[in-house]
Amino acid sequence: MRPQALVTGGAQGIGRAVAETLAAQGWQVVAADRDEAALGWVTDHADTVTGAVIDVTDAHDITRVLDAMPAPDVVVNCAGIAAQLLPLKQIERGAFEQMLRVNTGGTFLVAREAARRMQGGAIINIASRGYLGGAGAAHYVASKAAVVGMTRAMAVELRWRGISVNAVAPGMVETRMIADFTPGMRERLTRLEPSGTALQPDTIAGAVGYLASPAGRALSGQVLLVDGGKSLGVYPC
Amino acid sequence: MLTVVADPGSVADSIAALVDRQCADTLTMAAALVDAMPPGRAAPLDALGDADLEAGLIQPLASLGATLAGLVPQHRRIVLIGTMAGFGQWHASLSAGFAAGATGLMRSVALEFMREGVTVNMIALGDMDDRQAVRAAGLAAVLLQSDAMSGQVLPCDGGDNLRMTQARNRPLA
Ligand SMILES: NC(=O)c1ccc[n+]([C@@H]2O[C@H](COP(=O)([O-])OP(=O)(O)OC[C@H]3O[C@@H](n4cnc5c(N)ncnc54)[C@H](O)[C@@H]3O)[C@@H](O)[C@H]2O)c1
Repeated sequence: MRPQALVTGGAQGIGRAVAETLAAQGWQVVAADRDEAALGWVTDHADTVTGAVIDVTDAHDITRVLDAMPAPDVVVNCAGIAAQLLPLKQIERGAFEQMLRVNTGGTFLVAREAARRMQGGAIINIASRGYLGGAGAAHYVASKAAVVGMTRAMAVELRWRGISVNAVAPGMVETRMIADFTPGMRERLTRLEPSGTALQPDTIAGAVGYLASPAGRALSGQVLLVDGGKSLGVYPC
Repeated sequence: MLTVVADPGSVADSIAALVDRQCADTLTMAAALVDAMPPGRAAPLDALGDADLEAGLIQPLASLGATLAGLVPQHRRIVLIGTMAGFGQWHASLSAGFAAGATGLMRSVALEFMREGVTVNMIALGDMDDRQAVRAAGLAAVLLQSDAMSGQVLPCDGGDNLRMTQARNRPLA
């Protein structure tokens, strides 16, 4: 039997690239997402990828999806939301909570439910380079920094059970998430990239594929910053 | 003038009292000391329920965001009293999430209000005893009177983290 992987946010963008990469590396993948229509792509990969509708903020939904598949060996928490740049004082309480509920709470609930079933393996959480701090997105930053903190604590706790827990922190990636930003915000963010362009989802998927591999599982509690060096303060070209 | 955002009797409140004694008269601008200790309970991942997620992470982190939004830019020196949990801690998934989330929030606020002369830093406490409160108060007093750094997390654990055993420490109550 092929080893089993669950990828949330697998309908598109980074999650889809991760699902495709893992499938190509020999995994049997469940791509789970709340966007049922966008999950249609899996029909072209029916042998290795199946789609599942899920809301990662709902523990019952997560249980339903996990109960319908063999115990996963690898779980990739990729479902997430972002927001337009907004000054701190304009972030409404409801928006702050929603950001935390999806990005952080979703990661927590999926990891908890998956860990109950896993016999070793790897949990890989998609954070963001933004976890290091960023003006104009305090709630997004807080939600992703919290993912990093949880990753470290889960790594401490789950290593005794042979489960590695790591995070991947991407820089700006060409997906619907950034397509949804206003042109001004997109231009501003792109200008800050060291290479002057956004990364491709496949690049992030490559890092996830490594962490899922036997060699990658020697890492635990780590954050792989896949950001073209932006976090070093690299001067943009 | 020191604004204290902490529940009476809390660790942050007792540190604030010591800070007040040390430097209340010498503060030259509005300053604030804010409790950012994880409120969640220590428990294995498996035992943390949906209510823990709400009460230990989502609500307190959103509240910390609102607190900081209310303090800047009038308060130009802000110190958060937090913990080392964000670096990873045994049976503390949600506390670690809160602590690291508070760090991300603190750094974002520091960045956004840098041009207005605001500094925001965090003191990360290790295991707590009376000596620790005094140490933390001394550090806070320095940070509240200086623009030397912003957006930083200062471990205040007497160097304990060098042993790399902090992940096994009991989470702070
Ligand atoms: N694109 C970037 O520049 C970038 C940078 C850093 C980190 N990230 C992170 O990477 C992850 C993937 O983002 P992306 O760029 O591929 O965005 P995307 O919008 O293309 O994909 C995100 C997916 O998550 C799904 N999703 C959202 N909320 C959900 C929920 N409650 N339950 C289930 N599914 C849900 C969406 O339906 C969508 O398919 C996110 O966590 C994002 O924060 C993205």
